[in-house]
Amino acid sequence: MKMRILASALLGIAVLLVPLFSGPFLQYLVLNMLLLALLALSFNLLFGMTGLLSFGQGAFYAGGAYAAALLLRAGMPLLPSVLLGSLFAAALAALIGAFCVRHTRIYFSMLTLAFGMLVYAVVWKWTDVTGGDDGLIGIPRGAFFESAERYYLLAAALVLASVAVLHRLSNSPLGLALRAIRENSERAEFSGIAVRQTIFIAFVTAGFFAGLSGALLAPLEQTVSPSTAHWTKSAEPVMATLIGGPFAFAGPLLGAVVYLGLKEIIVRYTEYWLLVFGLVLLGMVLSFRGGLLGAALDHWARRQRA
Amino acid sequence: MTALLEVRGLRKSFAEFAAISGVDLELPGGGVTAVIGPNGAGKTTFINLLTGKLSPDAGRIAFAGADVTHLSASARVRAGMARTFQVTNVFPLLSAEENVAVPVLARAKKSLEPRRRLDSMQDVHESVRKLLATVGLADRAAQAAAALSHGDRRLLEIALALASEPRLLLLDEPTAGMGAGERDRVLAQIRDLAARVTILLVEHDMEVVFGLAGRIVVLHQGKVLADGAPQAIRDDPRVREIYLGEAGVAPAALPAPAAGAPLLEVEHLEAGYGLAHVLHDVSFSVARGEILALLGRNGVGKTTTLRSLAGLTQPWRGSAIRLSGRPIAFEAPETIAALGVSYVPDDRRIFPDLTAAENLRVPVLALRRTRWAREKIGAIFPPLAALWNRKGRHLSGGEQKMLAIARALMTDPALLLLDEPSEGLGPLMVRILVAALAQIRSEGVTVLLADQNLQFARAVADRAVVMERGRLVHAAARAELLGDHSKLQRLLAV
Repeated sequence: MKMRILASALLGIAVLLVPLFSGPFLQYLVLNMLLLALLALSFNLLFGMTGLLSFGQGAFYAGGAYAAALLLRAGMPLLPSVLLGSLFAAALAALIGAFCVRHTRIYFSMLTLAFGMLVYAVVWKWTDVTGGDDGLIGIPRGAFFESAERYYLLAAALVLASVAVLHRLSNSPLGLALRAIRENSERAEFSGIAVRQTIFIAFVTAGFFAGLSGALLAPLEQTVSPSTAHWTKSAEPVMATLIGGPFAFAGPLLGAVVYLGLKEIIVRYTEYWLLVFGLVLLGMVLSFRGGLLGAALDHWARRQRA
Repeated sequence: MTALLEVRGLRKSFAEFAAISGVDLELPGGGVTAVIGPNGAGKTTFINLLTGKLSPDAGRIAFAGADVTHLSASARVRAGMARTFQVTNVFPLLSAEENVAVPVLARAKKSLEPRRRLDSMQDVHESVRKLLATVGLADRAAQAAAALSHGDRRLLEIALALASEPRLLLLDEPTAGMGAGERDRVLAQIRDLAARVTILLVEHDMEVVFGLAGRIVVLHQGKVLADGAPQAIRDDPRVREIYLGEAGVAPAALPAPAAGAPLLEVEHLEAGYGLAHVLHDVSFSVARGEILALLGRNGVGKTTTLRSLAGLTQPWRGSAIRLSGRPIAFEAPETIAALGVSYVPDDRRIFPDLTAAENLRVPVLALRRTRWAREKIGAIFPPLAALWNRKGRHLSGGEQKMLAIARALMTDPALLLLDEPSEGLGPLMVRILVAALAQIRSEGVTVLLADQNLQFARAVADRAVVMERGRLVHAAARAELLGDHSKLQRLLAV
C-alpha cells in the first residue's frame, strides 16, 4: 500500500517534470496521452466500474472542448474557461443521462451512441456557433499560458488531480455501490441502493471528466474541429481501456499510453498504420483478456501463490 | 395496533393470465408465516409484488402503517422490507465482506459518498464483521462470493438481507437446491432470526414449512385458498385436493405395452447446477409405448431429470442414458432431438406472435415431413381445432399447454418428455389431457411425464416412480396406481 502511494507520487512528479528534459514534441505527445488517459478513465467509470458500455463519451469531450473554446474566444481567462467547459459537459451529461440510465446493456450503449451522433450533427450543422466543418480556430490561452511549458504544467496538474479524485471515488462507498450494480443490479436495488440515481451520478461524473479532457484539448491545439464529437473519438477511450484493462484502476492510463505510443511508432513505418494497429489490438485483446494490466496482475498473483 | 404488513385486493395479470387475482393478507408482526401452493399458484409473483420487483394492477400494500404500493424496490428495502431470492443472488466477484458492505452502506445512507475511503470506515467494517459472524461466515470474509459453496452463498444472501436491518424478511425458497447438511444449517439460522424479525417464507419443501412456520397461507390460482395454523392446513380437504389433484378423473383404458427392450434406460444419473447437487444416482427405464409418470413435489429434481434426458442440463460424469441402446448422456440437445426425443417445458414456450397453426408448422420447416397432420392433432386436442388462427399469446394457459404438446408431436418423437403437463389446469382440461395422452400412447409414442398431481398420474400412467430430494424413493406399478395408493399419497401430500 505504502509502496503504491510512493510509486504513484514519483510517477506524478516525473510527469510534471517532463518539460525539463524534453522538447516540445515529447511534451505534446505526453499531454495527449494524459488527455486520452483522463477520457478513458471517465469512460471506465461507467464501463469497468458500473458495467455500462458508453459509446458517447465523445459528445462530452466535444462539449467541454467547444464550451471552453467559446469562452476563451469571448475573452474569459483560461482556468475558469476550462472549468466552466467541464461543467457544461456535465450538464450535457445530465440531460442525456436522464434518458440513458433508464436502460442497460446494449440499449444503453445504443442510446449513448445515438446521442453522441446527435451532438455531432449539432456541432456539424450549427455553423454560427461551432464553425461547422471548419471548427473553431484561434483559441487564445492568454498571455501567461502562451508558453507551451506553462500550459503543459497546468494541464498535467489538472489531469493528475482528476486521476487522484477518480481513484478516491473508486475506493469510496460510491465506488462499491457502482461495482455492486455492475455485478448484480437487481441485488443492488434490493440492498437499498437507488440504482438509477446512482448510475446517473456516475454518468454525470464521467461526463464532467470527459469534458475536462476536451476543455484542456482546445487551448492545447488552439483549434477545435467537429471530429472531437465524431463516434470514432468515442471509440478511442474504449480501445485504450481494452488495451490497458478495465478492471484495474490504472488500466485505462496504461492503455492510453500504449495506444498513442504504438500509433506514434507505427505511423513512422507505414501509412497503413491502422491496419497494423488493428492487428496488434486484435492480438492483445485475444491473448490478454482483462488487458495488459489485468494480465500482469493475474500473473503476479499466480506467482505469489506458487 | 396496525399490522406490520397489510395487503388489500392485490391483483396482477400477465397478458390475459391472472397470476394474482385479489389477495388480502395481514401480518401482525413476529413469527414465521409460510406461503405455499402448487406450481403456478402465484407465490413468486406475490413476493415480487410485495417487494416492488413488479407493480400491481390493483390493490394496496401497506407496511408499518405506510402505503408502499408505489415505492421503488430500493425504497421499500430502506423502509424495512428485505428479501432473498429463489436463485442465489449475490455479487459474485465481490468478496463476502464487500457483499455485506453494500447494504450496510445503503442502510447508513452512505452509498453515494464519493470522498471517504471505504477502508477507513471502521463503523462499517464493524457491522460487516458482526453480520458475517451472525451467519457463520466470519472466516470467509475475504473470499469472492463466487468461490463460496452453495450453502454459504445462501447464508451470505441472508446476511445481505439482514444488513438492511429489516423488520420484515421475505425468504423465497431459502433451502432450494441444498443438501441435507446445508439445509439444516440454514434452517437453524432462520429459526434464530425468527426471534428478532418477522419472516414471510415461500417454500416448497414441506418439512421446512412445517418445521418453521406458525402460520401457513395457501395460494391457489392467484387467490388465498386457506390460511391458518399448520395442523389446520394439513387437515384441510381443499388443500389436499390441490396437492393431490382432482379426485374425479377417470383412468384411461391402457392396453398393455409391447414387451421387448426398453426405449429409454437411465443409470446412475447425477446432475446439478454449479455447486448444487440436484440428482443423486437416479436409475429407471421406460418401456417402448408406455407412459411413465415421474412424481414428486416441487423442487425435488423432476425438471432436472427431464432436462438431463433432453441434453439441456449436462449430466455429471458416470451417468448413463441410453435411447434404444444408444448412449446419449453427453450428446448435444439437437442430436438428442434428432434421435426422436421431444421435450415440452412446463412454461410451454410457444411462439406468442404466431397463430396456433403456424406454431405447429415451425418444427415441420426443418423436418420437411411428419406423420402428424393438423387434422389428427385437432382430433386429439378438440379445443385446438377451433383456434387455429388465434395467436399464441391469446390462448389460455391450458390451450397453450396443448399447443406445446401438439408442436412437440409434429417432430415425430419416439419419446415425449412432458414437464408438469397438468399444472394449473382445471378439471375439464385435465380430462381432455388424459384422453389426449391415451391417444398419443396408442399411436406408439412413449411418454415420460413429470408431475405432482397424483390423480392425473393415476389416470394416464402405466407406471410411476416417485422422487424425493433428487432420489427415486418408490416405484409403483399400474396395479398400485389404480388400487391402494395410500403410500403414493403420503409421499406427495403436504
